[in-house]
Amino acid sequence: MIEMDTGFGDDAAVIRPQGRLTMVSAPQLRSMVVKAVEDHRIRVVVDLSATEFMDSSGLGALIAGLKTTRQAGGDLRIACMGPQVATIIQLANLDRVLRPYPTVAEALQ
Amino acid sequence: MSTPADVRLTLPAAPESLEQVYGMFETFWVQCPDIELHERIRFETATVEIANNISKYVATDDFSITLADRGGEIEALFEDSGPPLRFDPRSATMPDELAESGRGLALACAAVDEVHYHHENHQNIWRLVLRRGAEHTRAR
Repeated sequence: MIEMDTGFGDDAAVIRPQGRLTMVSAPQLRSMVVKAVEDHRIRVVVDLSATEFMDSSGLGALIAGLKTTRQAGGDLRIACMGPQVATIIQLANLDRVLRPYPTVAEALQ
Repeated sequence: MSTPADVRLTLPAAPESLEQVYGMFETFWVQCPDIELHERIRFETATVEIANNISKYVATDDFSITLADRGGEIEALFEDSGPPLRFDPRSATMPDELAESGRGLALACAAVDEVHYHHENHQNIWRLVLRRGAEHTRAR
């Protein structure tokens, strides 16, 4: 399940994938970022506090979201990642483009 | 101390069936409580990526996964009856950082110590090995 919270200002959205962000659920994350940007919410934070596991499809969805927001003049940031997500981001050498923030509030600043 | 039994699962080669792989790991980790978290993460991440690849790209109805604790190392063995693959998994490289796909095999190779593939007796056989306590597999 993936939830979107828009209570952080007119141009921001916080997306919370719960459970596993994998080949099955990653397309939904991509769609939600597109929807947020269409609604002019170009600052997107993906709150990974409830994401137990991510695979390469989940990584691909984060990169797709990063490109979607940046093309609209915004950004996508990730926050609150657990040890498995941290490991896969490090193994994929993506810790520079997907710089993790410790909290959602810091990612929104 | 007795050696834990291998955990084996045969599942349809379809993305929806991959949920079963996570349940398989829950069983496996209960049998192997002394394996450290960073080793579990790397092994499970690599295994899921190979299962993803088989379910997406191999023309086969089903495939099997066997997880085994060999003491000093843990192993995942995949078998399917699809046609032979025409690439060397050891040649997998990580794509450009803004690529939206193509990382699965490279991630598996980065996560564990050994990734082997061969075709034998009309079977594709993948074998992943993570050596326990290896310094380079420790989380940074």
